[in-house]
Amino acid sequence: MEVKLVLTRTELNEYIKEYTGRSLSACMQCGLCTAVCPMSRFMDVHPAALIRLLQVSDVDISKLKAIWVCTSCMTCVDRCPRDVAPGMVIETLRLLALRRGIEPRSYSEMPIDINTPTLLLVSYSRKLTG
Amino acid sequence: MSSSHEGRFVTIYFNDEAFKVPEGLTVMKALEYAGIRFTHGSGCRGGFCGACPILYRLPGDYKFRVGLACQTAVVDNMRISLIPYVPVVPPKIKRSDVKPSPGYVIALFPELTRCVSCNACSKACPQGLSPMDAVQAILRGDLIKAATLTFDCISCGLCSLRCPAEIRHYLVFRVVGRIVGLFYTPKVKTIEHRIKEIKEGKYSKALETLASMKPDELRKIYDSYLKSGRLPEFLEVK
Amino acid sequence: MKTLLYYPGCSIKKDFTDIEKASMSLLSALGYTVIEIENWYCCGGFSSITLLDHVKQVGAFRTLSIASKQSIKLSTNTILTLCPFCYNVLKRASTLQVNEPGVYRRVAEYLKDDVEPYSGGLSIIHLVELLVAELDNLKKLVKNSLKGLRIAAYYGCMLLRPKNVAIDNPENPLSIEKVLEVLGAEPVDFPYKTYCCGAFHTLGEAEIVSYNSTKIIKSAIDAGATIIATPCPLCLYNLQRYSPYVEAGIKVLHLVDVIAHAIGLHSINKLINLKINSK
Repeated sequence: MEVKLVLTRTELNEYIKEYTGRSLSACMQCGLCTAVCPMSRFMDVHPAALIRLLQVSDVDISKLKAIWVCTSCMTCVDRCPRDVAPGMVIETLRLLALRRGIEPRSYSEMPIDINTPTLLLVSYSRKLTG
Repeated sequence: MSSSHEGRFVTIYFNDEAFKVPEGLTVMKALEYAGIRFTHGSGCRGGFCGACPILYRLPGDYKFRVGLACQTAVVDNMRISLIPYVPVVPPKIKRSDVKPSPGYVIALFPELTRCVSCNACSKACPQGLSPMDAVQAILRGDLIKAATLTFDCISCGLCSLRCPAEIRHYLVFRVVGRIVGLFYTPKVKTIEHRIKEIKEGKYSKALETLASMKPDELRKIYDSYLKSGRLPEFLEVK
Repeated sequence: MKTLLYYPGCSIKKDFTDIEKASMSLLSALGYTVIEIENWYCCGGFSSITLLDHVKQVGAFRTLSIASKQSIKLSTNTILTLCPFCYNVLKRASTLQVNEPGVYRRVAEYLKDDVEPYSGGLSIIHLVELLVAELDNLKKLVKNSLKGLRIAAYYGCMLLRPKNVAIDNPENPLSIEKVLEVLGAEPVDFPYKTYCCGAFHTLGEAEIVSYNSTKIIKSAIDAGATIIATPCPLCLYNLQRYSPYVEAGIKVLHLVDVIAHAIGLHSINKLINLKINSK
């Protein structure tokens, strides 16, 4: 079942205000977050561009790949000069998707065996399963 | 419908339909009194097979209550739902693959790592067990503790129903119990010794003799055993 | 006698028992009595970084409640963690209880049915912090100096971010380097020492971990290191998984493993005569 999750710009801004306590409009598009992000090269929409997208447009979250790539390393949160906390914004979008049953993959598609470190599974489950 | 029942009646709601039933009956008997026929969701009627879990609420209280239909007495104005089956798909396990390792259990059921220790499972257990403590014991690596905590699990599935992490508790506990039984429980030496004796044929002759006897011969031996407490010589095995 | 409550975490107990053993010997040699928290709950491996994910905090707060009770009996209010993820989760939980009473009240209300909610007073430390505070005593324990070994310290994410729980300056931490110096080794600085290795992507998109881990390893090699020492089990797993594919070769070890060699718990020869993998 294809689940779409299209949120309007207003809804997105409200959710993000609630879940991060910060405002998207503070972003000045300096690009620092993208520069420091260790995952940005694997994202379809890099952090600074994602913030801009959320500022100006309605978004179908189910189509974003970037939200499943972020590892919440929080480098962007610590370094953003305007305290926009892009990492928290990405995790908000991830939570909104997970809470509606959208997951990137199931356990059966992963190489899990008796030697898989538990920490690997626990951290994966905590971030990418809902 | 009035009857010769001298006790009081209470009202219970099943699927939101009201029924007047005698006080003091179990939910199962009360529903049968009301004309409901249990084609599923009924088993041993003794509180141990896990076939008849119920969810119910009482007036003036938001809490979800759980129980077994055969063990829970009716309460006035209780609203009941029967849960005859909670879906779980068991994994296919080969005996030769089973290892006494928490990693084996977690690889079979990776959803165990989703446990947030919310405790919804323990609130749902009609046996008063704590599935959360058992799951956390597995995550801690303590399979023996997990097996001990869930020995009385009747596989009713209510915990799995309430679990936000969608863990299949009774499948996990079954595997853990088997592992602990196979690898950690000490073997009974006297049983192993007796099995060895039987395989060596120590009892074969006596059994064959008995098997070949006629019923009235057997009865004579039995009556004499009852009187004297001793078996005839040809049946004594040293 | 210095007593500490100890929170192992799932990975240390199952996949890194030798690191745990070595850590316990090290702590005992430094004069600490370490007591494991009874019936600790899985921390969850990561905190939510949003403000409205209260249910994910429950495991950490259950552990803090139990630890609180034990701390009174044992007259200690410090919890030691070996795993940076567990450190991060427990530290952020204890900070939340202090800084966000409104949010904490919600979680505490929920937990009230089962346990007495945590009311503050515990401090959470990671082994690296403890070692930095015990540098002089650690120096006294060194039996085999690591002189001549050029070791790069890889921190990972969880000990340094977010800023308010960092054990050191997140831009240029030097804690592990101080420990390595005391052991006689030559610490090697390199620019990717706090760069995320890819964490859990090993299970889903392994190319991410392959790329990032390789980048970290190559950077350490370019800076002249022959060993990478890290305090994080997950980083250790990821870097060890991909280090054989880096041609120049480097040995990836847990920090406690390196210390164990220096203080004589492991044979020093095993460390000096390292086989550098080349493919």
